[in-house]
Amino acid sequence: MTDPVVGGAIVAGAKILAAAKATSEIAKETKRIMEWIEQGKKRFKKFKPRVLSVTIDHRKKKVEMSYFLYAPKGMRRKVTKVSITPREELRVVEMLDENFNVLTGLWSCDERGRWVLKPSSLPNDSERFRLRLEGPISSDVLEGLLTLSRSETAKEHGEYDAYWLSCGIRDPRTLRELWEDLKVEGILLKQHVGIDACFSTSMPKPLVQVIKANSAWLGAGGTRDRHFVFDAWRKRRLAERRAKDAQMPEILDGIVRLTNEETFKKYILIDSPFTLGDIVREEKFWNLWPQKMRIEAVTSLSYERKLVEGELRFHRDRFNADIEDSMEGLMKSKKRKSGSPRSKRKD
Amino acid sequence: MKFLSEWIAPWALPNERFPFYLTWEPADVDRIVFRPPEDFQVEDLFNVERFEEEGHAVVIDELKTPAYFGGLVFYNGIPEEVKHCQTLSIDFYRKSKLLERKSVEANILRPRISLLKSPKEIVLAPATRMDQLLNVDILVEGVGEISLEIRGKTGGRVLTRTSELAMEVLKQMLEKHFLSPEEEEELTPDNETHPGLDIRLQEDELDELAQNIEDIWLKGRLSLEVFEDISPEELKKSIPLEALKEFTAPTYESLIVDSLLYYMEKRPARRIELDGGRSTVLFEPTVESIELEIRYRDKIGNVYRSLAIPKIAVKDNRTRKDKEEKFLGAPVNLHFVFEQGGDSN
Repeated sequence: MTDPVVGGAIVAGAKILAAAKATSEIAKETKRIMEWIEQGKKRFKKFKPRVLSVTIDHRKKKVEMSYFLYAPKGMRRKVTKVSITPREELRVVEMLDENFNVLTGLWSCDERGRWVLKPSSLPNDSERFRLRLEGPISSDVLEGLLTLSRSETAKEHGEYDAYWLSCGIRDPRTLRELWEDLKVEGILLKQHVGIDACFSTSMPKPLVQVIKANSAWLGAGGTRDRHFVFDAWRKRRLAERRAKDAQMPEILDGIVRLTNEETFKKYILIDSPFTLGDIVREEKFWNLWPQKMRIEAVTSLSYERKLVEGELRFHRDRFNADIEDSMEGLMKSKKRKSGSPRSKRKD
Repeated sequence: MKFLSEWIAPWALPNERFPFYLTWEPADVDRIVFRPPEDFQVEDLFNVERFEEEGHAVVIDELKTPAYFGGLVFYNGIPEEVKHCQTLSIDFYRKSKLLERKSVEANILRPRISLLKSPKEIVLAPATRMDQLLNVDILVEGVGEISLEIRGKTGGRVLTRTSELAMEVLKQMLEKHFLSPEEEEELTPDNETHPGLDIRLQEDELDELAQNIEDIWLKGRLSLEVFEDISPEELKKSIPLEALKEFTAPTYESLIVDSLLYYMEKRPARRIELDGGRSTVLFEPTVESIELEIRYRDKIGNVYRSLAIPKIAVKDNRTRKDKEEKFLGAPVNLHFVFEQGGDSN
């Protein structure tokens, strides 16, 4: 195989350069995964093994192999034991009988760190078994195999903001060499959706005044000037009264409520074949102004489905309206008990 | 040749990497010539075994598997227009004979601001409402978020409010650290006057904030700003990280409230971020006119040509005594009008 020529006038990309450099590493790891698949077949030779599926889990960076084993009662089960060595880096995920019951306690780890199965301990009421093994796959190999892209910036379409998403198999030959029907699942694209402007433009004015008055009051507290502190406290009370007794900790709690995963989910729509994964508020400090949400779009690829694309939509106008409603709700709520509630984090 | 699918990212910013691809029913193609426009570059090629460059074309002699080709490209530069469309051409050959020429269109969209209205003259008088003095109307076209920064070209001095949380904590802490015990006693609020909001920092948040502070600390950014005569090493030696954490907890409460204000000022409208919050122009007594410019960049760091605000004459009607005693400051009030100039739909 000839390495591609890189660093020219047109093709100057860091990605192609990195991929060219990692070629030998990828080939080595590809070989290792192919050996795993073969090893599985060899070790269970007496049980007529059949590879049911080979799947890469992109999110977990794992390769999973699923085997069908035929072990009727009798001679075959008298084989002393089947083992998988630590050098093979494989882990037994689970073993099922023909009724899809999970079988526990069959595999054990011996003093040499090997996974060992005693076929004689297989249950008598099943002759067919399904075994799942998994091993690690490196980021380099995944990067060489796949190409993931998402738009850096949103495009406004009336009431929503759109972001494009795209995933593809960069190197379909390696994928096919690994296993004909190999599937890559749990492919994760992380899209950031900015929400800070939603809050700053939708916050009702009386609440902005409450925040300003609180800032001035806290600032005054550092001066030891009692007149100044009293004046700032009076202005703060006035602002809170105008905002119908809405107080700082409630404003902060309201912001946290609007940005938790369950609430925010309803403002996001993703085109098939992507599905919505986790939604996480990004910034480090929860009590501060919310800045952006990380939305995970998940999909899968295979040799047959090499390329997928779609759109992620953030219903900005609806979110803005709900911020306004929720914050105005703080001002309309009935008189609270004395003492200010504590600010809480979402858990 | 029968094409099964073709796709190109529907839009991209200048210098943003975006994908395109084509798939076709297996055909005996032995050569593909990909011609991106002159101002485009190729970041990656998909399913390509061997290629070489010929002029401004990429010649692909061998694919890894048949019937699929794609790549990652970018527009190398900053276009003047809000929407810049260009065609990527892909030729398919068999035995040196052209089988098919395929074209895909790339839409490069950028944000652009232009001036709608600004004052020609402003008058400073005792009754002037300074907060309503400097109003500038801006037209925003194209796509994407932009960060704006107002700079003074001549006359006046532009101040911005950059209160990055960690930086602020560190400044306060250092100021406290270098106080004498008497000064510290003098500046420590007593329990009677010190207000509290009952907003508390979680332990993990405290750790992260301290880490954030440490990053600034290690880079020595702060010493340049606050203590010109002390090196970052000296500062690090004199205050251990644990002390930073201890200091952070009580000051956190007022910083939360300040940060809310900071972000509200920083994000005055959708898609707009003001670097360092709202700017204020400070009028020194001798100023006769001011000239401002607005610098802006997009989310991936492309810097666009600055917008110059024409000279604004300053008429100072205050008494001589007033001028000497008091510098006046006026916030720059930016009003934004949005136009979806880059929308291709």
